[in-house]
Amino acid sequence: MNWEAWEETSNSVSGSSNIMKKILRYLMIFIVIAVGQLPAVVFAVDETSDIKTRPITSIEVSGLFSMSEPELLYLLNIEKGGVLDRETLSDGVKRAFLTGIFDDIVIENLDAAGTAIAVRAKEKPVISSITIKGNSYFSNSFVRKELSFSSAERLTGLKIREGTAKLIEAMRKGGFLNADALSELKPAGKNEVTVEVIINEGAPELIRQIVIPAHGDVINDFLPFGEGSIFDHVAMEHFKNKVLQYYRKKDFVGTSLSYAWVNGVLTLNLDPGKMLKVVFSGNSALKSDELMKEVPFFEINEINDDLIEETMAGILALYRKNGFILAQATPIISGTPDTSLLQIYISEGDRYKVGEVTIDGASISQDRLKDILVSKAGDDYNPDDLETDRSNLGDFYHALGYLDIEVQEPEVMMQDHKALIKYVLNEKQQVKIENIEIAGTKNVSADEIMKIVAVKSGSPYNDVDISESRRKIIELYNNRGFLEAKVSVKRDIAGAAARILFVVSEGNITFFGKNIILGNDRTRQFVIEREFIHETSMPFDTGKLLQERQRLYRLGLFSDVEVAPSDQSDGKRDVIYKLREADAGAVEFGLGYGEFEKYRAFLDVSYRNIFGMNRQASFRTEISSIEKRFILSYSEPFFFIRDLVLKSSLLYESKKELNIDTHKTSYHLSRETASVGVEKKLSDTVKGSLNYDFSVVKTKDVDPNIILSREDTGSLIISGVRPELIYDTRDNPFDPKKGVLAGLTFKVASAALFSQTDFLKLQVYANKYQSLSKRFVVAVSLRGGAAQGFGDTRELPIVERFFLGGRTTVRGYDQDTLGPKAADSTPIGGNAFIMGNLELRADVGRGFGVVAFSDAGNVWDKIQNIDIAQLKYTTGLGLRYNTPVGPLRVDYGVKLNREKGESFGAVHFSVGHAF
Amino acid sequence: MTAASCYAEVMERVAAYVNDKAITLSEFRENAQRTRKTLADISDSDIINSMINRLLLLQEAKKMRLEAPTKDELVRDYIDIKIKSAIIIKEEDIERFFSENSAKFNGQDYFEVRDEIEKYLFEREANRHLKKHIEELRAESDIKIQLKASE
Repeated sequence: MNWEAWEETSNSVSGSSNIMKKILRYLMIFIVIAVGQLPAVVFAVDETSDIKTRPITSIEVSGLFSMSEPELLYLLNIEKGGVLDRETLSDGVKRAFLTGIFDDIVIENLDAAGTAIAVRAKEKPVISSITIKGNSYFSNSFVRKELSFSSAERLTGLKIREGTAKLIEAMRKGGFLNADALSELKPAGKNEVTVEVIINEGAPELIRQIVIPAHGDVINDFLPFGEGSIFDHVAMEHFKNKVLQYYRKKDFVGTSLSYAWVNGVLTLNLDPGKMLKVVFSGNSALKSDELMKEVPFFEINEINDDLIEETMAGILALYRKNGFILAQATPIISGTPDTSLLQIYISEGDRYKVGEVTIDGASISQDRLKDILVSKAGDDYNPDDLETDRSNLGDFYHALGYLDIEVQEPEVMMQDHKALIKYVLNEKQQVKIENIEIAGTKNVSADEIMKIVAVKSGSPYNDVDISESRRKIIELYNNRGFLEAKVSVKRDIAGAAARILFVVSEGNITFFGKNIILGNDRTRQFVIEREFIHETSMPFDTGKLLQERQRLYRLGLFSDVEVAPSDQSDGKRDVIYKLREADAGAVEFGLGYGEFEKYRAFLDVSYRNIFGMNRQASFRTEISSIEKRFILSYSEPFFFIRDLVLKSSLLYESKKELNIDTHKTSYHLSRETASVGVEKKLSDTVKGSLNYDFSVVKTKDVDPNIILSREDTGSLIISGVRPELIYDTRDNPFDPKKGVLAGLTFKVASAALFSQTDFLKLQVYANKYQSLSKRFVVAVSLRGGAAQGFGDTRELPIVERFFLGGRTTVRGYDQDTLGPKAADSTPIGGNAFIMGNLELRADVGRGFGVVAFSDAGNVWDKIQNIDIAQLKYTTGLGLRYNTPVGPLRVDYGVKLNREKGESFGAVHFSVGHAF
Repeated sequence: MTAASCYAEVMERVAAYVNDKAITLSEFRENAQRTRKTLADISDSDIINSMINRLLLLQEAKKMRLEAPTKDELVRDYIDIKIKSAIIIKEEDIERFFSENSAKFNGQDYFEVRDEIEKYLFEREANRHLKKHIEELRAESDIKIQLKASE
């Protein structure tokens, strides 16, 4: 019965109160049905009969396509030997359902004894393909774009409904008013469906006639359709915007364009509005362009008295900000029926500066107080800042325990175009904290809480610190599993002493429940789980969840990681990990040209999720006119234990060293290297590694002038171990804005490792990155190295010597051309080097960057011959274009201490920053 | 087929779902039992739909980061903030209602019944808004009811 019906049939009512009670009772029933909300008394009825099985002896699972049986049983919390009750079953089904895979999960009891269980899962089908039929005007790509579902997605009724509706709307807007579409589902293979989108475009709305009462010249310039065209509403909106923009650029305001569409006749009514000219006069300190920024008429496409008044207020505020406190602005509007002229007469008045600022009655030093003021001596005087400063002083004193501080209105005296500002304070007494107590703690000791409390006995009373302390106590409890912990603060302020009592209500402890992992279509579940640092039944800790989120991001497999606890159930909270997998494969390539190397190209193909196990493999080739290099590498991120990475690589390199002047070949070198090693994360910022390298180096066609040792010609086996330590606090390894990267590498090759040469080699480096502002980063690098032969080895083989010059070392010099040279000027490398680099990196927008750099460095034949005075300096500019793997870059460096016969500079192409 | 394999009792299943949240059969049964103590004739369909509506409102309340000691209070708070806070009953509407229905008030003075009329009009308006809001939420959610008559 509805209200109207009641009104018709109810004739005898004893009183209005009864009427209303009946009405309200009726409404309450409606709410019960609509919302399922019942009065508390109804909730307190007896429970339903409980299900309880005996220990389960057999579990039968069916209907799974994209989840393994153990994974589903884990989520359902069903295991052999376990006992099921109603709550466990209900929680399990709800938990598994959160994965978004299922349409239904039915759990059946297969025998009367309750020992055999069947789990019948029904997964939501996957869309295998989408076929489109019936379209002739609209292309398949248009239809696919409008449908919000695509193949390989899981089918849901909502997606089909919304996608189809969106398509219909788009077709109708496109001029087919009667367009319709239907999405039919057809089974296709195991748990897959084909969606057949059947389109009925219907007849389009055709424009029979276009009527343009006025301004036809402008309209025809932009009109996208003519008589006989389909009336496309989307094109119509674009057309309207273009016309409005056209008039805006011509300084018109009040432009409007409307249309009428009746029986195929399109009537376009354009009112261009009025051309508005805004003229400032009388201004000299502030330019008209600056004042125009305060004029909103063109942006709003309107001019009226209120807007003019707002504009004047904005202009005067701008003047006051610049010290013109007596500035006046008078608007006068005039014009013809087609044009308006707004003349704004400015009387700037004199400019005033802030003179002396004094603060009377302050026991705190004047300098300290003046630091917090906006108006400082010498600044432009703006009276609008006085109230801000008064408030700042009050807040500052309050934070120091002066709870009754009085800051009087400032006295301002104008003298010689200076404002002398005087604040008078009445500090009154400072309240200090006499005593801090903690009450209500059971599971965390008061001593432990006191350590994190920001306020201390004897310190000034400060509400901000007290609130922060309260927040920290709650956070501490939350991280120990007490998610409902509440902390109230009782303050007892008597005279100059305050007693603070934090009263803790711990609530019940919550433990970690199950882990629900969503979105890992390619990545194996255990790869994700091994990044977890919590265990089921540990006290729930949101801090651990944050760390796990970071760990998952660091795998490089996911573009989005969302970690959220689910609702609490039975003292436990499940954790839902919603992941979005990033592209695991990448192909990079680049081309470049250098004066010395001529052409240069590289190709890098990598995949970081082999078998869904985060195993990474890559193949990189670098080719130039003098060098070929092929590297095949593989890494296993979880080598038996957490954070231990196995790395291995195979390298083949063939290099032709040319004389820099004659371009004659000085020697040919080929190297085959196999490396294997482990890398261990020692802390969040430090990692160590130990590698073994085995190389077969062949040097031939060697110019006798550059042979330093017997190892420099023929075939040579180099076998050595290479421990390394890296400290890394960079925010982004590809494009760091802040942080430090420092490291130390030591290599020893010895006959004990079957090496035909013996040497020790040490390299150190430290790079520092610091953001100066949103767009500027300064980067500094210092690198050095030293090597020494031992045993029968006096000189290191040429492949192990240090070389500098080129794209990542000293730009301005060609690749590897710095340092000791043979008689024919061919670089022969050395046993020691020192290098420094400085870069100012500027982001100029749209992915581009400009870098100014300065490099210095040199190579010496022996450690004892290092001479800082022999450092070679270069400077230059570079251009960057950002890509996900670092910037593509081109640098041009200029030699600052060029020697006779040397080139002026060199161009370098590469990917990634120089350091 | 053995006798044992013929025996199959559904212990639990998904009675309905709203996006990724399931309403289980046992939850439905428990809710139905409670509701029928107050509304004996209410149908299964009405019960499951009311559970779906409640779930939708709870999801919205969580999106707004509302907190309350119980889920029922959370729903109530959400309705208060989202629905009721936006309703204003104008004086002229109360007067119009009084004049249109004056015969049914047995000659009572306007000021004697004004507050009750206002309360009635407010609740009526709140219900109208709530119904509309729920319809909107349902339209943008993936909802499926798979409860069978036998269950």
